[in-house]
Amino acid sequence: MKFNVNQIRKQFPILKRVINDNPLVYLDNGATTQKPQVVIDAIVDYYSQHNSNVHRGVHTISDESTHIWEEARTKVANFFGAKSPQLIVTRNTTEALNIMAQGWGAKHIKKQDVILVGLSEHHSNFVPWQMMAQKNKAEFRVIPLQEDGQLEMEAFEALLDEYGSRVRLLALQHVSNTLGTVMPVKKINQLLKDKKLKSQVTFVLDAAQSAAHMPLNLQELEVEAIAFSGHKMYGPMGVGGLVVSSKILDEMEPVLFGGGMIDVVSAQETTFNPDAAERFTAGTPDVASLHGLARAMDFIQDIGWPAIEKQEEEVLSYGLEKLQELDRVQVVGPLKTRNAAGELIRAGALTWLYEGVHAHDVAQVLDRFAVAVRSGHHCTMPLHTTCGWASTTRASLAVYNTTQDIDKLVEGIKYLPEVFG
Amino acid sequence: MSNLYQEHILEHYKNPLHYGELAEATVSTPAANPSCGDDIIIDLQLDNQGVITDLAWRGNGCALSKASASMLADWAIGKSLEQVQSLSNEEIQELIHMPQLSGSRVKCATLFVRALQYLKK
Repeated sequence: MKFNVNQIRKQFPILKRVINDNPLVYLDNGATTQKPQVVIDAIVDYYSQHNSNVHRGVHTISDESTHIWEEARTKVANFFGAKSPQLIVTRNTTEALNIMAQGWGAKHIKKQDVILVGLSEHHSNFVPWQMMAQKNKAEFRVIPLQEDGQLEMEAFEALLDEYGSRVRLLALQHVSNTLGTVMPVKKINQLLKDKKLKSQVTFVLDAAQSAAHMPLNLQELEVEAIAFSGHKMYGPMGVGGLVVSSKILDEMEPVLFGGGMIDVVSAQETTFNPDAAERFTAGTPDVASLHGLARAMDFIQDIGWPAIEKQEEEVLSYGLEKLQELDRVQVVGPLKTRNAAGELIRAGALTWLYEGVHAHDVAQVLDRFAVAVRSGHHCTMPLHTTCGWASTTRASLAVYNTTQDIDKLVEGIKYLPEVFG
Repeated sequence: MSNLYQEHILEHYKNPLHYGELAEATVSTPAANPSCGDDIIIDLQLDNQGVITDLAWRGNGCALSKASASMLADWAIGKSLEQVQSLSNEEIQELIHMPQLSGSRVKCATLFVRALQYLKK
């Protein structure tokens, strides 16, 4: 099927909204994407026809609900190249990373071990590890970035050389939520292999900002864990997950206790469910949302990655070019989507500073034109502080965005001097 | 929102009142608005009764946070510190003539008072 962006846009009811007399131009997809009709319908259908608690119910709709849950689990796990038990369903990326830290890190990160994170990490992939390091008396080190926001590979290598076998965990964003920088996962793994550290370093990938934009496969990426949010990939809010390797799954301990995750409970002791899919699902899960997420993944697969990647890169390249032409605008992060070697180095986010006007005011004026963008430090305070930025404005893309959306954005930015001089 | 940038807001933003430092401050207070990276420092001169006899403030912020700091600073001189600290969000919005701010913008408008609240009542 040939890609037609208008056909895609028609599937998103919210894109028909008119705000301040202008059609909505939604460029805040890094915060959350909009939902296609198929996802909305799936949730309505679940609650209209099948709502019932999963497992241990013998009646018809409980059985249907259980099937919907199991099918969705399999779909979501497979989407990341894993099997159902390897998926721990969470509310979002933040919860997934916290579960990784609590359920695995608490026991396996020991005194003197070293945790490495990137400077531009979202606080959700920064603070849980910082806390864990403090608690277990491990060392927490931050890998610096180049001026354009890409990981400084020489500095990373130096840290590996400095700490060697003490390095236990590497936690990185696949795509930076602030700068759009794409982490060179292959090169990082190659370096770990060259240093003979690959087998001992647990590599955790925060895929919140990549899961909607590029294919992700646990084996191919050679990482031990992928954390993601359903709502940033056309699914409903309130559901996400942590996909882990079989090795990590074995080493992982439950952090939530209660119904469903147990094997035998007595006054003396409790044993946990040997089935991992159950062991990490304490209490009633959000069946409707996971079902909605599975349908969002159908939506993505129906379009196909090549078409999604092409459309988004085209619009991002156009945006990078147009914004750089504007007075008082300084684009931050890589200025092109690809490096000289043709590798993708930027995806999703178009972020800038506007001289003389606070980012909040930029976003507020753009709202006049119904252009929805985000302003602030985007939960990356270490990055903003290091770069000396109080706050930045970010337009972030999804498959339904077009170059016309960028034109509207540019029009709004050009209007700023009318308000602020 | 379309009328957020009313003339009085833009005027105070561009020419804020009591902006700068006090050479002889009784007390100074740092503060930040964690959601957007705004910051403000307020120098105060207090008399024995805790009345603000003079003040100056400085910081980085959006038009709304600066304009409201400007208006509130002007209002606060001659009031007791406690009185300023106990302003409600609604009272603040009334003082800056912006009664219908959205939740996220209320934070900007109240930064000045929240900074003062860091000082013990």
